[in-house]
Amino acid sequence: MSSPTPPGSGGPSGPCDAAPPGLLQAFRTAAGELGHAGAAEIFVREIAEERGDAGVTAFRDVLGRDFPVADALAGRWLAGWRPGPPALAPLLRHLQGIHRLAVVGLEARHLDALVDARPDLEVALLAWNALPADWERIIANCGGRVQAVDLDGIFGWAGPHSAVLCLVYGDPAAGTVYAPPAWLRLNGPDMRPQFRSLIAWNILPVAFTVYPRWFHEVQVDDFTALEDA
Amino acid sequence: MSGAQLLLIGILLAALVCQAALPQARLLIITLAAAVAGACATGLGVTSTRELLAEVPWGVLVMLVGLGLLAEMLAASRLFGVLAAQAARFGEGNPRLLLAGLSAGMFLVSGLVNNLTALVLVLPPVLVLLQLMGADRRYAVWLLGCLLVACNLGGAATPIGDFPAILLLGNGSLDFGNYLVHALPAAGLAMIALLLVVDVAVRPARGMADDGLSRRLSTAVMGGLYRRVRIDTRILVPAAIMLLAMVAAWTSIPQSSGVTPDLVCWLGVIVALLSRARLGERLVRTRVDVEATLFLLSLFIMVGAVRHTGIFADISLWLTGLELAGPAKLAVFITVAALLTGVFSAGPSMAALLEVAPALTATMPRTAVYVGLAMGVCAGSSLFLTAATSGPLAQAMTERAGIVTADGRPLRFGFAEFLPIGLLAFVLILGAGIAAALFISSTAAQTGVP
Repeated sequence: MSSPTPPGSGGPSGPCDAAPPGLLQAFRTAAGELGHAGAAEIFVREIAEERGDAGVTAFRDVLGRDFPVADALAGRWLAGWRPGPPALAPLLRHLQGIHRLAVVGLEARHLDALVDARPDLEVALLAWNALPADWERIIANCGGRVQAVDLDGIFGWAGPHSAVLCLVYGDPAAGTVYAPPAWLRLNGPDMRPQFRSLIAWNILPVAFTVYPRWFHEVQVDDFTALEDA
Repeated sequence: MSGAQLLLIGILLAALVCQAALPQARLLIITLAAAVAGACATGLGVTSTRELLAEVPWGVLVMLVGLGLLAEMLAASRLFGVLAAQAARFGEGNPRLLLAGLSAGMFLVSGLVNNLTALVLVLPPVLVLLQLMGADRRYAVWLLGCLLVACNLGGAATPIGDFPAILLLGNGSLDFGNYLVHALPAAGLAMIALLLVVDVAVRPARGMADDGLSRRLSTAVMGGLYRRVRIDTRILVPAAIMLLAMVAAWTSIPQSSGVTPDLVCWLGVIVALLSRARLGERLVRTRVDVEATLFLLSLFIMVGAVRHTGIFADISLWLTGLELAGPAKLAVFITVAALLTGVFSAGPSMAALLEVAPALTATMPRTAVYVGLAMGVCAGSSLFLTAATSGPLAQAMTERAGIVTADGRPLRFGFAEFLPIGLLAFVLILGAGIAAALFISSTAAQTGVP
């Protein structure tokens, strides 16, 4: 019995014809260090420039089921949306008076923008990812402004002037969003009193057509605030 | 051959075979064998353990540790990661350009730092690139193989690039400038020859689809992964200044002054580490290459015990007594060095052959003998994936990266995959080494080379 051809590996027919070989693996590598949405933005932009909307559609067909955030982002792209700079102002209002911030989840472009916007803010990034990632390189990209912490270390950042920022995805209308698995390990009754606020920053506030594996559905009420990016 | 000779050679060979067969107990096997060799040599009245320890070339170990720490400091500056990413971006996903550019980059990096450090620094971005560009199996294997050979050649090109050359510098066989001036062109020519043969005859990229989108994606993602990684000049500048100062001292201070290369290295590295005291203290406490140091210390003791039996003197006599012309004898010596290294790896081969080499320097220029020896050892290190420690490291790093090639199967980079590259590199490097040694020897009268 022959083994099935993996998605994006260049099979004999179908949508893979429009996708370059190794697309799935390339996306995994990028998503591990740039974030699912950040990687999807790069892939969709480059594919659209090289192969137009047909290429973006093929990208969705090949990767959509495995990477639902990429699928949702590509869907938005096809509907005419284009990524712009992250909306920082609402988030920064919640961060007034906050000196130390622990970030759960990784989206490189958004983290870069936040670090640039608040040069006085001490930032810790929870070094946990379901995809393989070189955390030394991720931190080196932050110009000495961000340090990596593990699940235990994050409570060393607690205090009256500290907050937790969790990067989430999905349409919050039904009262839930999708958070990284690390959030489930971190969030508990002892967490809320230790930080001044638990903020959700919604990277992709759209409804998903497939369940976003790699993430978990959590209640919007788990957070003290929710802002779109 | 006497009983003592047989026993001590047997211990050395058994240790080498066992450590290769049981790499998980490598250090225990080698250090135990050194202790047993010391005990047997003492018990048989060949020599004493005190004498064996006194004869260890400690200067070589000091240089090995010192240069390793300086390499760690350079690595902490992120210099090599940024350069590798720049090379990848410069290549714009063109497989032929990437193979040549990355191999040349690896050659340069491993000329400055030891081979293992060079691999650890350069390979991660290359593996990411292979994942991004959807390379086929043949191309990926040839790219990794060429990088490994470039690593060995770069190590042989300079006196501080890898253990065999450090040994020659540390024990006073050759001075810094003399080695560099003669080994660098030989290693450089071998590198160019390898890249030309691979590009023109092997053409590893020929089966790959020339996909513009793959190129765009790999370039864009590499740009993203290294978007804000900057070289830390606060670490790089003092490390580079001290490295240059050490090179200046190595080339200008005669060894007869008593200021030996190991002393220069010791002082220079400590001053460099002091310039970033917190980082320096951390590196000294945690990043000394204990495995390599203990391995070589044990080898020196075992080879020292064997030397006291007189076996190396017998081999030297055999070599000098060969009814061959001087150049032919030199070629035989270099070929034997290459084959021994292929089987036993560079450390044991160099330790043993340095005992034999002086027999040839009596009738031939020292520079020709030792540069030829270094190139022969480099050829042997490139023959099999297992011949140098950098080979298994590259294999482990590749397997850990979990690369899937364009055919959808996991990339395997093992002994069999490397063998064609190793055979080609062996022939080219050995040829370049013999040619360089004979050229140096034939022109020594005019150039005044020692």
